[in-house]
Amino acid sequence: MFFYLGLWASKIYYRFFEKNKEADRMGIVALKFDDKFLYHIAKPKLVIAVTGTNGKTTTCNILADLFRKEGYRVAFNQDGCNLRPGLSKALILNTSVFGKSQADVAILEFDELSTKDLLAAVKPDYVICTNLFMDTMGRNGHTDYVFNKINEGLPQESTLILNSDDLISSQLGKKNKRIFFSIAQQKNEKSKNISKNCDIKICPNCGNKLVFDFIRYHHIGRAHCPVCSFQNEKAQYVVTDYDDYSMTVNGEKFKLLNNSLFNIYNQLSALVVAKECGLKHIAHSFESMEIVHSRFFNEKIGDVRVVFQMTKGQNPVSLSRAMDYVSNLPGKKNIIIIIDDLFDMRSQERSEVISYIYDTDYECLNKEDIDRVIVAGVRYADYKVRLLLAKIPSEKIVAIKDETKCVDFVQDGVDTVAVVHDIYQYRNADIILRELQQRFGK
Amino acid sequence: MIIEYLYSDVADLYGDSFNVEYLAECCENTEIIRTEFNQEPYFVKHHVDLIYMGSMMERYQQKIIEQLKPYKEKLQELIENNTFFLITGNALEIFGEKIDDIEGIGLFDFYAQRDFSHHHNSCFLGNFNNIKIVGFKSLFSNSSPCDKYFINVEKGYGFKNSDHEGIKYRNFYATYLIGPLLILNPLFTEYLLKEMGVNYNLKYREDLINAYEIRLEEYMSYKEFKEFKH
Repeated sequence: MFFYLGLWASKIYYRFFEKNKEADRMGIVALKFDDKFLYHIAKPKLVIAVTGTNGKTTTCNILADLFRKEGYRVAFNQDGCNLRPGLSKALILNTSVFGKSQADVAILEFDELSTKDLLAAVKPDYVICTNLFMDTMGRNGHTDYVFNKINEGLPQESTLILNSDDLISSQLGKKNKRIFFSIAQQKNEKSKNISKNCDIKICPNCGNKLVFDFIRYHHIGRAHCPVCSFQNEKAQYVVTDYDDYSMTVNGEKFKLLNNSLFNIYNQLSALVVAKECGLKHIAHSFESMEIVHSRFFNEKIGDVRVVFQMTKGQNPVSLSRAMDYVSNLPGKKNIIIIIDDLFDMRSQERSEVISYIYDTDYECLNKEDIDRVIVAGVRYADYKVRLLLAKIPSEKIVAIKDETKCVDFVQDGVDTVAVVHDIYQYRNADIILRELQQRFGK
Repeated sequence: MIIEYLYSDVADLYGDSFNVEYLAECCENTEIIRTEFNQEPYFVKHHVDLIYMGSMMERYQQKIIEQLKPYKEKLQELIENNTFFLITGNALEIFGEKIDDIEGIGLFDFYAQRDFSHHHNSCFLGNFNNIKIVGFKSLFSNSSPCDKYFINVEKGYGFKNSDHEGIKYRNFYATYLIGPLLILNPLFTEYLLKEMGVNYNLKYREDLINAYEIRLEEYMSYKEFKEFKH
């Protein structure tokens, strides 16, 4: 009874009163009537959950596109609301007033800390865990904490889709059916040194030092324990080779949506689920897909290549990957960094755990072809210190408080301007883009 | 100067390693000995000027206690002989009597209690030797008060039911504050280096002081710090 009241009230609220259709308030309305609403609402025949530290939204977007292109009706919390209200909303919008699910598949992004509760309510057929890294320490603590939160809640019947190259998340759900994916080491891919921020250096079974056979980035790679049998899980889906435009998975070629490594992993995880679910036209679907614009922008404005790379703030691996990516863009470069999580700018009511600044690899920006690093935001002085400790010469660093003034400091004659920004800085990123268009557009 | 960084492969959860790296930047001819998990500590057979250990995931605490306990007397001797120790984050709990039911090394009279349903986060402003100390905590545990305390709390949270934070005894400095404490607190770093009696040049001093003063001004402007809890 309370479930139906919640269902109807939320639909009425959404139809007549909700001004921001992207918000998850209709889910909150439903949950006010029935605290167990998410347990009670009908689910589609196929439910896919996506959790992990990085790449959840991108993976979900790719998956939703793949299913839609094959005619499935998809329930999807595409607004990024990945807690109970957001999931409830995604399902309500695809449920009739009589409580019947009208979707063929639910693709649900799960907040990793809430996964235990959400898994119990939704009982997915497939759970993708993209990866586990240190992230938003004030909230997520560390990888052990998040790992345990997910692991404790995994329903026995869920099939896990895991990254074999991730030595942490690949240890999830040892009692579940598990399918692993991996990207093989490429001929031109050099093994990196162990990152000082590598999140696993010790064998999780016996505590001895792991021997890394290959490190792609952070703890993503291949390792084994010289004492016990611990090593990477064997992958059933392997990217044997890739270039800027395509990847080959188990002998089949697919268009790459984005050539950055973490996005290849995202696309691969979506592909694995699509394959397991029997989708027939995956390669064809990828041909007409693009990464969501707000996450990535790469265009020529006049003679200058302008790249916007959105990243998660307070997330050292995401930030480090973004820094690595922009540092390798071609030509003489200026890099703009605006990654203060603005919601966290007043520290009185928030934790101000800035350790992510120190856990991020800014050393890669110390390159000859990077002529200037412009860092802006409320923590500009902290960033300047960090950049100096990364041995970037003081004369190359501009540190300012006002993000909107960044373009004033961009040098003439550069080939590339790269802007790394976090999700909460998208408005300032838009301002910077407009200013770059004015400055370099013809 | 010889700095031993104890269990550097696991005790570097929140950028803590920058504490020793920064000290090495400030003092020429500094050697950092990185003792790894399961290795015998360097201090057992060699002279060290400073021993450092940083934050770690809780599962490592018990194992590190087991690895250090055989050297309890040596550690005590070093502390009594004024060897410098800098311990940040939950690494300090290892030196107490207990962490929940786990016996600590027992060098100091306090015990810690964990609560994984209570993830404490807060900013911190304190005073040590007329130096304002700024920083932040992110912990699943807290400790009972200890009479050998390090910092007077001005805003934020100290040990349980206490206006004091951390442990200070002779040259043993330990605090729950996490991450690059010495970079955030250049005045304390100068104090520490002076106490150590080494030649130093506080690298990037102007920029560190600038960042410190901005943070200090911001922290001073708040009436109190609220706990940010998960």
